[in-house]
Amino acid sequence: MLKPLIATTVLAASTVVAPMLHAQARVEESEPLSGAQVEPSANEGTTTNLQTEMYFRLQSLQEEVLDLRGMVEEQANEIQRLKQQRMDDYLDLDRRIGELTRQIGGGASGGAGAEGAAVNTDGSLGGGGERASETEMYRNAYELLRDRDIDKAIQAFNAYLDEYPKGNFAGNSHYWLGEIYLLNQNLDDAQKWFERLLREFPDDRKRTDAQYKLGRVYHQQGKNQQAQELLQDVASGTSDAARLARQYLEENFQ
Amino acid sequence: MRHCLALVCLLIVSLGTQAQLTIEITRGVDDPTKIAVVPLELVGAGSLDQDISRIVEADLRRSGFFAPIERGDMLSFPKRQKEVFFRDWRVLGSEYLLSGRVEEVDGRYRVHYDLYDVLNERPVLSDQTVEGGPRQLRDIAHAISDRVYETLTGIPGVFSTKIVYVEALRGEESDAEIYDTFRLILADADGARPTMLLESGDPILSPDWSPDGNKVAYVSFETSRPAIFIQDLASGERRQVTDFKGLNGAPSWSPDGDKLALVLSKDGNPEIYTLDLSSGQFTRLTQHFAIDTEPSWTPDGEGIVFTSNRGGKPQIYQVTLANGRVERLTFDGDYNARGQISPDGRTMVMVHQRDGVFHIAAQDLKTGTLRILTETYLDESPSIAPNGAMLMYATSRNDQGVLAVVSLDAGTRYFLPSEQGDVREPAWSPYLD
Repeated sequence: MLKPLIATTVLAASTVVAPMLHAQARVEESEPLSGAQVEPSANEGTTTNLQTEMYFRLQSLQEEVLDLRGMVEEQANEIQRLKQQRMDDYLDLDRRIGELTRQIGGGASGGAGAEGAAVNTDGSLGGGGERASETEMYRNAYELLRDRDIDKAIQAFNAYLDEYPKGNFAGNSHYWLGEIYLLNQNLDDAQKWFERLLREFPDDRKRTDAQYKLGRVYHQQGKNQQAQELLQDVASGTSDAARLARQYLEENFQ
Repeated sequence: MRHCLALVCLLIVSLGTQAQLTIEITRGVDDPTKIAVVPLELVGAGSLDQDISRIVEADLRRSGFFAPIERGDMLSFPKRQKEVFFRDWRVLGSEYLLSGRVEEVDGRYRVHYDLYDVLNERPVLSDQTVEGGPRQLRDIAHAISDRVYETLTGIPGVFSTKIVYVEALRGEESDAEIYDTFRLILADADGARPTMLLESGDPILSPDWSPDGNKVAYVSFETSRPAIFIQDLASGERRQVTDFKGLNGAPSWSPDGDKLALVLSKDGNPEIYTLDLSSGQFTRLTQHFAIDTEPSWTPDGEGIVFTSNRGGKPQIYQVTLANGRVERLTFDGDYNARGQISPDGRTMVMVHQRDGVFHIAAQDLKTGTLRILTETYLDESPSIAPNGAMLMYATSRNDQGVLAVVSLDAGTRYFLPSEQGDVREPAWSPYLD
């Protein structure tokens, strides 16, 4: 789209410049000549050369400016991104420290591991009573899973989803249910939960992880094309899931 | 609805031999909802020359969210609620049931329909009616599809909307390389009922709908250089709005319909301008020796996104009209162009080059995450549907220019292949009600 346009402008520019050079040359010629014939023509040559050179110098300077501007824009964007990331990391760390302090101080039941803290990234800890019970329900389910009490964990995640179908941890709950079924080689149910997560919580932070896992489910179900498509989709990103997806693709689809 | 029907009647430029676009679905969602669409038959004597239920079925199937039940499997064709036996439909695995009847009143048709939730054995929509003349059966069907789709998915339907596109035809001789005919075509969103708005021996480019759906702006080369025209769809009346030396291109209508954003090269190289349609006043928005092109308004009308190579490579920028500030929006890859922002303002779609291939991609404007939506190559000209759920774009298949549709979550895809010529530059209409 832009290419032809650029070509046209370059062309236009050169056609504008060419007559200018000519005009200049003609003016020189029309001046009354007193000296030898050789001298003005040499002058003329120098002027033309100089102008051509100026023109090309200008062109290359413009290009240089464009490239530099592009670099500045990209770096500004990168700085913005890093600032944001630093802030996110700080908030995350702050939350974890808060959790630990509370555990030590209040002797809260059960250790909230890294997962428990990390999932709650929207930053609203210690809200109202309802909020706490929602977090508690999810944490309870997650702890059952961590303790490998699989059946109870499935029940607990389902109970959480019944109570909070659109809750803060609904995406996570879908993911863990899918994960449990995948571990148990119950591929159909695993597929169901991962697909539901992707469909109903398209912006969930577990999305890429779920895509990666669903890709593996498809592969184990023999749906190789679907698996490959999905994994390639994930692999184009920069997340951990993307790295895993690339590895999985290399190992299974080469 | 009625307004839209009137409009269609006025468009009398019928295309007897015009080949219409047919639909070819390549992918739907993984677990589409099963729905039974009972034939809507005429009560009393006579028959309809369009099968309304088939059109509704095709609409719902095309959306990717629904899998209609085979008509041959149906045990009965209920017309009223008391004739519905939910068990019969449960056996077929149908989750929803659409049934009803058509009545003829003074030469017009009135469709009564009901939508039932089969599993819970209750009506979801009762006693709905749509009315239209004998030549509006397709409009009636699309209106039913819109209502059903919105009721069950929560997303407004776009089955009643229209598209315009450009059809380019080669000369009579089969080996002719050069296009000698260009047509601007208006059709239903499913490609049916094409009507020709303009035929020209010179290229036609970049059609764009006015927000009220009554006019189309486009670029035509008929005056031997590119010029922007506005054409009224109902009357066919045309008005040339630019005639500058050099480029006059890429018109984009402002959301309030008062202005056009466009590209002019009258002051040297291509820059973005706005044209106030009532006063005829041009305002220059960009000042840069790089190329600025392909303007498109943000849905709130407060800014314009455009493509520029001011950073050395084509990327998409946004200018805020109030203060003239320019901000770069795309940072992923070496080529991003033709940006358009979805009606909810959250997503921008664009042509994105990856590994030397042009795809349509969507960028989340908040997080900056970019997703490639299309599997085809040489993709161009994305145009988002008014509900923000789908987009139409031009691509190439078997060396032929065709239109294709993909949902913004990339879950549903289908082609609108043309029977003749190369089809390109689609523009999806706003809601026409």
